[in-house]
Amino acid sequence: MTRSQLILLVEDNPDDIELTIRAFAKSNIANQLIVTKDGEEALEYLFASGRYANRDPSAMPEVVLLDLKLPKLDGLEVLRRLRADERTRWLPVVILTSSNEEQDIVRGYDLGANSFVRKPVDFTQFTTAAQQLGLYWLVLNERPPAGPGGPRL
Amino acid sequence: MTPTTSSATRSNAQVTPDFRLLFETAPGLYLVLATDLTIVAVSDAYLRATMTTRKDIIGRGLFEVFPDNPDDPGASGVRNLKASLDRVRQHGMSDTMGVQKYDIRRPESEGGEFEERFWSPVNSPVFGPDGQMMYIIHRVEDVTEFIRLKQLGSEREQATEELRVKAGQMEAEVYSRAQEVSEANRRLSQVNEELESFSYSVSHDLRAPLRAIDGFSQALLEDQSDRLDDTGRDYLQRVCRAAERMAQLIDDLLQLSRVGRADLLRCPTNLSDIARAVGADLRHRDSGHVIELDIHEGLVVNADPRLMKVVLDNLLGNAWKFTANTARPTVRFGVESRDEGPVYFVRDNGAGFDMTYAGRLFRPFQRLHSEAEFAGTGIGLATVRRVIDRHGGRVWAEGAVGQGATVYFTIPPAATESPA
Repeated sequence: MTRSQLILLVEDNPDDIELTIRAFAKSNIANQLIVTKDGEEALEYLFASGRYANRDPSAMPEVVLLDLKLPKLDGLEVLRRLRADERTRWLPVVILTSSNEEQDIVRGYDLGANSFVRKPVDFTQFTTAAQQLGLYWLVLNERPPAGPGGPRL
Repeated sequence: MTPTTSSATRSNAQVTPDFRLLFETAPGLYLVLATDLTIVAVSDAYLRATMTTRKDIIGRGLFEVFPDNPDDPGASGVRNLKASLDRVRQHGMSDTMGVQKYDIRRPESEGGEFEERFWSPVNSPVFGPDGQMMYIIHRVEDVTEFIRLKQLGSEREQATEELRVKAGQMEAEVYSRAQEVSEANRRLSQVNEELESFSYSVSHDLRAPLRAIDGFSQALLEDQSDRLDDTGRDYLQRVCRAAERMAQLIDDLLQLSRVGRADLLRCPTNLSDIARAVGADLRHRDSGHVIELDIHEGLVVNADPRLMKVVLDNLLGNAWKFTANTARPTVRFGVESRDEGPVYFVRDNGAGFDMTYAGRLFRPFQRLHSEAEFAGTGIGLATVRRVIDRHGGRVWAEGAVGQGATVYFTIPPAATESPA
């Protein structure tokens, strides 16, 4: 299976969306960025339902960049549902958030996050972080074996 | 040899005591609850005191068996007991309640009315081998007689009416004080919870707008640079620096608040190892600033390692910062033996400070240098003091302008925690 080379950003703050697009544009990967603005929309995208019913459900993003504070379903709840579903059990999820509260980090990893990145205030650092994330998840990381949910262990 | 059998029986009973029998007949008033507050075991004494029977209450919910007296509009038994049990479940620690009025219903056969009772309860968690909470032991003493004697006056006390009244008032006062302490405790934990969610919200929500201020200013600098003159670019750079400085302030304030709230988990902590790791981190971050770092090996204290890391982060970080303009910068972490015990210190040969202001150093936002000379938020040493305070130790500083500074601190071996 070819790699989708897509990154799904789950973020409700329009400023943060704009800045993230700008940061990824500097690494020429902005056109691979899909933006969903709350937890519900993110789940519809990933499971190809609702607003995204016409999407090819087998084209999963390489990585989901998940904010924690989201309207409707918050980030941790989205993560919990992704891990509970065979199709997205192994989908790489990076929590990308403002907080570095220990409780968020612990709960994020507890629920099966692959990584936890605190968004820096400094835009130069933010750009560096976005570039590194793109390089790592689009190029270096070996995806879990293909197929819905991958093979059972 | 006739006694063989009986001695065998005796030793059997000694090897495997009948714990159920022992528990149920123990003289104390014990009720054992599952974590969902179902009654799972009870001592005979408790059954007698509450006019219940084992078969009627085992397997039932605590508050189903013991509801509030519907005829007492001020009944607070269910609410206060539930709050105490919630605290036990939440924090995994024993919770002692103040003297509590909690009326008991007579059995149906005796009319089923409520009888006034006063109790002194303690609720304690019981953990299984896997560390999970399995039960809560609810131990009570029936202090009804005691309270009633004081309230109504016993025969003996009637001899001196005045004394009786006084004693009654005092007892009522003790009772209401205990209630007040319980209530104050409840409010305090509520305030703590609010503070927690406030800090959480600060850490999350205050940073997002700062990111936008910094990010879009940078974007303007990059995209519109040719349309801006030098002053315009300078202004935008100032906006960025101010946003970053405010982000640093938020982080430092959060750390100050966290070290006050965090649980103090003491264990043998090697300060020398922590100092070496902090030094390596500082070298990595600021490789242009070459410093001689001299660490006394093997300094072990009984302290919280995470909080001590915060202390050494701040003290060594300061030493690093204030030696930036020093010719041969040297930083020492060591110990001096004094009458009061070991005194640890971080000493540098940097910018130093005027001893006139030594007392101000440890207050939040107090800075003795301008932002242009040395960057900083003025919260670091306040954070250090809070950590050392919580360990029951002392912290102070000595120095002179241009001749370096030394910050001293003590960590008493088994001091009790002072309130944060």
